[in-house]
Amino acid sequence: MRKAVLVALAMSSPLIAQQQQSAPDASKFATTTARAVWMVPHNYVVRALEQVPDSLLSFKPTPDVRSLGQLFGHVADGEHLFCALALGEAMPNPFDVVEKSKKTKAELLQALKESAAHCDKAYAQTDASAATPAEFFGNKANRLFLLNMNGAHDFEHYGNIVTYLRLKGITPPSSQR
Amino acid sequence: MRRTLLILVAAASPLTAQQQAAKDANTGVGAARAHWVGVHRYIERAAEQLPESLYNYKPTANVRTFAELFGHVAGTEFMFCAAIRGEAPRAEDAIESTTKTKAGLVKALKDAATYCEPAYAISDAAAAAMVDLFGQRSKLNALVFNALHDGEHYGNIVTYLRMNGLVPPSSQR
Repeated sequence: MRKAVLVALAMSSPLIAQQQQSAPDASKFATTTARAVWMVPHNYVVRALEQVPDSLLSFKPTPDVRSLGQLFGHVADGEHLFCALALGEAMPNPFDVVEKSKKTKAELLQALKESAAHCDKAYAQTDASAATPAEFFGNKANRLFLLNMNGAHDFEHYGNIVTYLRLKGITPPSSQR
Repeated sequence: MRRTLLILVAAASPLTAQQQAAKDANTGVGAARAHWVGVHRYIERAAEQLPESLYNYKPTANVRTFAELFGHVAGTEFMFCAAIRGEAPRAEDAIESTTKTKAGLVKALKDAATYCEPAYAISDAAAAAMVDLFGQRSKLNALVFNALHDGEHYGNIVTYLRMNGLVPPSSQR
């Protein structure tokens, strides 16, 4: 499991992010960094879903937690929420649409693709734009905080997913070679 | 569990982050610190609340125990923050492989937080400097990743706690 940190770190390298852009942009240092780090858990979540059969999406290790399928839906919902607010858009209402309505692997993969596209717009803004104050759930922050929160939220739930996968004898993407 | 998201956000103290950023002119680092403080505190609280009798619990054979997770978080925080502070490298498993008791691990987590605070106090300009941490990356990248790595393992801990009928700190009122 130790190797997981090394692989994740390598994937979060800013050089990778820069390679995905035409040229490094100093005016987007913080947002590009936030995106590079966010892509690590987002891609892990997508890869985990790709390798999970539909039959396991209803699995939950104990009654009062989300099922595996609900976790994937919650990640997509969370990305829409944080990235909408980071773009200055209205907060999605309700903000659990994917979790409540998308039940199949194909639907959830599509939902994660759409939430990533939404977030790519949010991470494309400049650092100056990301310093704009933003409000969510009554708290005041700035857009950059929300962009980082998006990555943190993805990684927390990827941590849930890892344990679910291990309980089913599946090696999570972050530990695969 | 929806409330978890709300509490996670609230515990990250966005107002404090904003105020800190304004004070120190470190918007990027300040945002990274706000996340890291929030998730680190959840892990510390989980370690404090968990009975020592459960420290060796693991839900399946080939994963870390609670104790190993707490040790891994502390060890990795030291590793990241040593690199950012420009100090001698710390082994990621230095704590996980040696510290086994609840008292020792709670202390290790508190020590790691204290050690990381100066790393999260640098300016955005200083955070643009590159550091060799499994490849070249900016210090800001490492600071953000440290917080997210904590979050990944807090996600493990949440599931372990739930499997033992315990409510994780992020869902407590």
